[in-house]
Amino acid sequence: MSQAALPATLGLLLFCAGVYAMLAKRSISKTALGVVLCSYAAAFLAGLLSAGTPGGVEGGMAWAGIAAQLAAALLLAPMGAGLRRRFGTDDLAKIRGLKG
Amino acid sequence: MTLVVLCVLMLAGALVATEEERPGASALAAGAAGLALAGAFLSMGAPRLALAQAGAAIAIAAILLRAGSADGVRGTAAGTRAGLGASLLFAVLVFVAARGPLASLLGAAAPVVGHPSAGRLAAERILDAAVVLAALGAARAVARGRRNGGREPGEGTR
Repeated sequence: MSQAALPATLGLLLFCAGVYAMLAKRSISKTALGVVLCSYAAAFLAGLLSAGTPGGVEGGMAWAGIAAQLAAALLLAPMGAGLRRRFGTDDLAKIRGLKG
Repeated sequence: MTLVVLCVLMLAGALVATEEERPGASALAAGAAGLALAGAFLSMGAPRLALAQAGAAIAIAAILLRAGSADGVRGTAAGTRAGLGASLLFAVLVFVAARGPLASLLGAAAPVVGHPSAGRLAAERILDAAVVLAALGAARAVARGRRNGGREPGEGTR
C-alpha cells in the first residue's frame, strides 16, 4: 500500500460527503455546500497528485480547484438566498411543488 | 501522519457542515474544513497553494455566513458585497504570494535596454500598486457590506 493511499481514500470520502450533501439534503444552501465540498476534494486530490513534482498539469488542476470553490460559493450562495426570498422557503421539494 | 490527521479534520468539518442545521455553524464548519485543506497543502510542501486555499476558505465561510444569515434573506446584497470584498482580499493574498514569479515574468517580457533588472523592478512597482489598489477595493466592499446592515440598496428604514 502506497504512502498516499490513505489520504487519497479520505479525499474520495470527502467527495462522497459532497455528493451526499447535494443528493440527500433538501435545502438549497446544502446543495451549494455540496458543490463546494466536491471542489475541496478535487483540489485536494490534484494537490496530492502534484506533490513532489515541480510544475506539471496536476499543480494547475489544484489551482483550478481552488478557483472553482470560490466561484461555486460566489454564484450559488447568493442565488440560493434569492430563491429563498422569492419562494419563501429553503426546501427544494416545496419549491418544485409550487405551481405558476 | 500529519497529512492523515488533517484529512480526518477536513472530513469531520465537511460532515458537520452537511449535518448541521444552523446556517452559521454550517458555514463555519465548511470554512474550518477549507482551512484543514490549506494545512494539508502546507504539509505536502506547497505553501502558495496553502495560502490561496486559506484565503478561499475564509472567503467561502464569509459568503456562506452572510447568505444564510439569521435575519432571513434581507442580507443578500450586503452579503454579496462582503463576499466580493473577501474574495478580493483572497486575490490580494494570492498576488502577494506570487509576486516574485510574476515580476520575473513581466520583467522578462518588458526588458529595458542597458539595465537588465530594470524591467523586473518596474514590474515589481506596478504589482505593488495593484496590490494596494486591490486591498483598498476589498476594504471598501467589506465596509459597505457592513454599513448597509443587510438592507438592499434603496430599501429605506420604514
